[in-house]
Amino acid sequence: MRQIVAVGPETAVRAHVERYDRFDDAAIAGLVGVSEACADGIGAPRYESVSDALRETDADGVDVCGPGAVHGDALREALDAGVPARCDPPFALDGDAFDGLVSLASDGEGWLTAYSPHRFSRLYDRLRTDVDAGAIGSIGVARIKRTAPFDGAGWNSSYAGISAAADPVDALCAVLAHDADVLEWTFGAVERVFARARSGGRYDHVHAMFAFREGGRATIETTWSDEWTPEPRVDVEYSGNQGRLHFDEHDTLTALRNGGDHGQVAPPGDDCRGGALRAFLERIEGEERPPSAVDPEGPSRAVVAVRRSVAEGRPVTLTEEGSR
Amino acid sequence: MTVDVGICSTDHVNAEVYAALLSELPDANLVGISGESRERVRKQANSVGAAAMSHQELMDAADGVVICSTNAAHKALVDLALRNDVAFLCEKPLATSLATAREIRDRCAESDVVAGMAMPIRYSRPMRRLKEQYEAGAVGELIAVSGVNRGRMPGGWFVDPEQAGGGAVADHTDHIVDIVRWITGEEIEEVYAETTTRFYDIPVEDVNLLSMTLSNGASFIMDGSWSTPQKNSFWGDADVELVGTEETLAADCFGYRYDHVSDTGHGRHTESIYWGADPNNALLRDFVAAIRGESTLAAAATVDDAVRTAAVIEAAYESVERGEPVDVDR
Repeated sequence: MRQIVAVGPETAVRAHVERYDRFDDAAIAGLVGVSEACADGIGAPRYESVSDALRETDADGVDVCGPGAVHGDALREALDAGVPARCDPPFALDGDAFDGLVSLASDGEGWLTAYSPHRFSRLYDRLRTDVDAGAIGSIGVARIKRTAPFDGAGWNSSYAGISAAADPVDALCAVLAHDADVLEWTFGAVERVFARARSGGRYDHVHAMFAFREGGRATIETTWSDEWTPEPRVDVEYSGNQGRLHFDEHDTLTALRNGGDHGQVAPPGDDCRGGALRAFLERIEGEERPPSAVDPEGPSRAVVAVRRSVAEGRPVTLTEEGSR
Repeated sequence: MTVDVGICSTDHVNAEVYAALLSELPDANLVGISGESRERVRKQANSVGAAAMSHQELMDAADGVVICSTNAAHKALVDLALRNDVAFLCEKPLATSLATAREIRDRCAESDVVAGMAMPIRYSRPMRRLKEQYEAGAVGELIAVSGVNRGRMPGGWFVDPEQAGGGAVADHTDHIVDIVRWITGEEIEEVYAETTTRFYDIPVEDVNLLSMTLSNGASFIMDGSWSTPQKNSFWGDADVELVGTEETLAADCFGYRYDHVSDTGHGRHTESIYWGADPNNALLRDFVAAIRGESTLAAAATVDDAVRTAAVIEAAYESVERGEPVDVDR
C-alpha cells in the first residue's frame, strides 16, 4: 500500500482523494493546504506543511493537486526529503524556479513527474496514436483554442486546482501548459515561442505560437475567466500534409445527456486524472529510479518561455539549458 | 437602367464565381470576359452566355469590370480601367508590394471612377451583425481578437512568388485583417509572423500564422494557412472572435451549412454545402448599384483599405526575415 500526501486547494484535493480511494494499493497519509473540516471529512490527518507531513508519516509520494508552479514550496520540500512528487504542469513559471527544481530533483533521491492528465485520456491517446500511424502525414499546423475555467469533472478534469493561481497570466499559463504538454508529447520538442496576453474585466486571454524543432507550427489560444463561467469550449485541430484530425467540445460532451446537462461517463478512477494518478503510483512502485529526475521538462520550459515572451514582446528560443 | 459589366481576366479562381453571379443579376448585363488564355476565356464566356474579348475590347464595352487577374497584373489592369473610365472591383491583394499598392491608390485618387476591392466578407451577414453588436458595446473593451481564413492550396500562379507576391501570407491575410479593421475601427500596429512550407512541395509558404496588436492594445492572432485538405468537405473558413471585458462574440461567415454524403458507386464522398446568404452576390449587387449611381459602395473595402492590408502583409514578410515583431508602416 502506497502512502500519499495530497497537497492543494480543497476542491482539487477532494477530486484526487476520490480517485485514490478507488485504487487498492493507495492510501492518503496526510493532507496539506486544506481545512480541518475537510481533513476530518476525508478522514486523514492535516499538516501545516509537506515537511511536517513527511516527518510525521511514512509517505511514499507527494501529490500536488494542481499546477506545481502554484505550490513550489511543497515540491521543494518533497524533493528535499528525497520523496517522489507529482503535479500538473507547469511546475515552474520562471527560469529560476525551473532551474531550482530541476537541480534539486537531479541532485537528490526524489523525482518529479508533471504530465498533463490529458495524456491519460482516451481521446488524446487516440489522436497521438493516429498521428504516430501517419494519419495526417507530417504536422503543418496544430491549433488549440480553449475557454476556461472548467468547473466539474469529465473531460475538463485535467484543470482541477488552477483557480488557485494568483495572477491572470499565471492562470492562463496553467491552462496552456496542458496543451503544451500534449503538443510536445505528440509532435516533439518546441524550439521557439511567441506569445501575447491581455487581461481585463471578465476575461483574460493569451495566444501563443510555437515552432516545433521538427518544423511544424502550433497555436494555442486560451480565454480565462475566474469570475464568470463561459460555456466550456475547446477546439483542437491537427493539420498535416496528408490530412487533418479535429474535435471540439461537442465531440467530448455528447455521450451522455440529461436534458441540457452532460453526464460524466467514466468513473473517476478511470478518467484522465485517475490515469495520471495511477501512473504516479506505478512509477513509485517501480524498482528503478526514473531515467529523468524531472519528467517532462519541456512543457514547463515552454510555459516559462511563454511568460518571458509576453513580458518582453519578442520570440523566445528554447535551448537545452533554459529559455533564452 | 441596366449596366454592362465584365470579368477582366480569368486567372483568379473566383472569376468563374463572379461571372456566374453577374450573369444572373437583373440590373446587369454581362457583356464579356477578357483574358490572355483564349481557350479558357472562350469556355468561361460560353458557359454564361457572354462574349470572349481582349482587355481593351472589354473596357470599350463595359461600364464596370471585376479584375480577376494575377496579383502582379492588377496595376496594369486598374490603369486600363481608369484610362477608360470603367468602374472596377479588384481581387485581393491589391498588389505584390506595398509600394505598388500605394501607386495604385494614388492613381485612383486622381480619378472619380467607382473603385473597390472584390472582397465580399464585409457583406457577410454574420460579420455585419458582429459589427453592429460590437459598435453597440456588447463586448465592452476589446481585449483580444482571433481569426481564421484557411483554405485549400490553390496551385497555379498562386504559388509563383513573382505573380502572387508570396504564398499563403499574400493570399490569406487580406480578408480577416480587413474585416477586423472594419468591425473594430482599429488599425494593425505590429506583426509577428511564423511561416513555413509544410503541406506542399511549393516555392512559397503554406503556413501563415500572424500575431498582431491593434491600435487599442488588443492582441490579434490569425491563421491564414493553406491547411485545408484538398479532400475536405468545404473549401475553408472565415471566422472572427472578439474577446472583450464584458462578452465574447464570434462570427462564422460560412457557418450555415449542411452535409451531402454521396454514395453512388464511385466511392463515398461528403460535401458540406453553404446555404446562407451569399456575400459575393451582395457585393456584386452593390457594385452594380454604384455604377448606376444608386450606391456609394460605402460598405465595400476600398483601395485605401487594401493598401492598409498590403502594409500588414509586407510587415509579416519582414518579420519572417528578421525573426521578430515588426511595426506596420501605416
